[in-house]
Amino acid sequence: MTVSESEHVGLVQRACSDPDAFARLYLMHYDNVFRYCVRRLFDSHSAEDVTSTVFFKVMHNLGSFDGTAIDFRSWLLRIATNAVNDHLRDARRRTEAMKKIVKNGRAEFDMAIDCDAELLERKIMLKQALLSLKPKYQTVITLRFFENMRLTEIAACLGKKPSTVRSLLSRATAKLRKKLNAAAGGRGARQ
Amino acid sequence: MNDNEKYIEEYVKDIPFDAPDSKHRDELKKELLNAFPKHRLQPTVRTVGVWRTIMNSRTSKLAAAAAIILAVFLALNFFDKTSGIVWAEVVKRLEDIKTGTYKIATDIKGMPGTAEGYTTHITQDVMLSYEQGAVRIDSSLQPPGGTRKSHTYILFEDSLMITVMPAQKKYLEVKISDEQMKKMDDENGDPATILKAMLEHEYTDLGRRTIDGVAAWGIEVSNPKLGRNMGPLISGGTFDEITVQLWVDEKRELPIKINATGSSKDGRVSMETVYDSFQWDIKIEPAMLKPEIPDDYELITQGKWETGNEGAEIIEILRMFVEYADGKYPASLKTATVTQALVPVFKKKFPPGSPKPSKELIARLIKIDRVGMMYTTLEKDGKDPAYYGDKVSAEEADAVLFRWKIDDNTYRVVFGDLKTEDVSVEKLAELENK
Repeated sequence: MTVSESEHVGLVQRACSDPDAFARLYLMHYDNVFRYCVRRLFDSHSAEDVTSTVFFKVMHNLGSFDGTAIDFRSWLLRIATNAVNDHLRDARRRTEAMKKIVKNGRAEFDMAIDCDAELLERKIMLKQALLSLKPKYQTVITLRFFENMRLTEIAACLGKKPSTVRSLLSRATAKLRKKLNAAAGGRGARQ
Repeated sequence: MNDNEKYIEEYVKDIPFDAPDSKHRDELKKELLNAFPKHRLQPTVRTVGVWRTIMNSRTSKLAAAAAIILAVFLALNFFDKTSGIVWAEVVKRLEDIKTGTYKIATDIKGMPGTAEGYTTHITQDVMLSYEQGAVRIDSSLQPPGGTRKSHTYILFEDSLMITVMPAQKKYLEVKISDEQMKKMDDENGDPATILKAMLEHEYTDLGRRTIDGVAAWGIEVSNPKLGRNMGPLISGGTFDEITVQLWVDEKRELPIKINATGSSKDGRVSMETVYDSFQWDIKIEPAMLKPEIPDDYELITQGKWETGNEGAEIIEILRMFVEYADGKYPASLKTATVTQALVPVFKKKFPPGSPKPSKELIARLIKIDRVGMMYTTLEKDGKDPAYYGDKVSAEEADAVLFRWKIDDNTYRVVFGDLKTEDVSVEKLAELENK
């Protein structure tokens, strides 16, 4: 479903008071929001929960949005980022997520029939490594490498300066690489 | 891109993730549409509060016009994002609220009927339900020598206000006209009304502060006109200076505290009031909003509140000064001044143990509460009122005591002896120059 910039702006305006327009806007962006959430949370049920939270927030705050379609995507991802971080901020939930990953990782790996085994193993290691980072590092990594956003776009989305995002990303990638290497070493040693 | 970034980019490439599930997408769509804010379906009536649910079509149109003006005003002036809070959004959020409770604690120094310098404490527990169209206010007033408790119910569908005083086993009923009911809805002092009124004036951004342990943003307005939006306790032109601070929980974007201070120019009357303990969208049992009046309670009076005849009502209040105060009128038509002048007279006339005042007299007396509001209404409606009670007494039968405009070229003049005459603008000038 593609619409022009001006159509999108009009759609956002109508969506404030017209449920049909809101439904259309929702359908246009549902997949993107879900994908972002699932890449942050590595769990489709949690991603669906957070996606629901995001769209309820969008519905209640749409009146305050007054930008372009590009701004809307950033606005949406900012709401999604906050919702994911809120979800992860609960330390207990985070610990449980980690335990679940360790417990289910092998099962998931064993169940994979159609997927490349090496890719799945990489995914499990990425989950463990990424979720052990602070949410701010997880955010920049997901926006940069999964959403393929430029530094300036990430900066706009997070409401930070590009230079701040630059240094955040630099620290985040260094930490993640270190953890991935450590995980690969450990797994290699176990095999 | 540095080495680490290249490494991560390569690492994550092609990693599979779960695809969106159309079943969840459809279910969520249904949930969202079911919860779509109903006020947004009728954006033009969203600023009229409780009244929106029960207005007839004629007044609905008037209210809608007012709402459009307010919406434009808000859109032009108050989407101020620099403070971190979009205040117009807070207004909208408050208008989405279906139920709420909060407490108001007020200290009034120099309240009419008390000794000079005495501070009267008043606490009010407010419970409001826009769904049920009802408000309940449990008040506790501590004048010298005791505490007086009462429960006031404003029932919008019945256009009725009932105040029950359990300790005295008494109650009073006031029938409220449609126009007056709308006015009360506009000026009833609930947080949405106060915030909207504040946004209509120039406000100072107080920035971010921790209020009662919560990160909050605040604004402040200093303007005596705010008094009329702070509920009947503070309205009535008693205070020449009024400053209101409103703090909003940064996370929920709903009010957590409102502080107001007021003082009269002569320094005789001052007040401090705090609204807090806000709870929004909580369950309120319908029974809590229905007055239960036991059979042995005495109806002390039945009154009527109307708008449009403020001038005549003011004359009725002034008549009490002829009947009971030797024709010496109050210096101004502020509620506090009028009450201050009448209280000693009635205390003397009805000492403890004497026969009780009649229902008719009580009905007249309760109007005094609104005299300041009535005068302000005449001013607000462009009726050019003027009052000369500081110079004129009942003995000066031909001197202008009070006047207001009844149409473009005519004024109704009330003379010292309370006779009235409708005169032209030229004649009025002549009378006032005597």
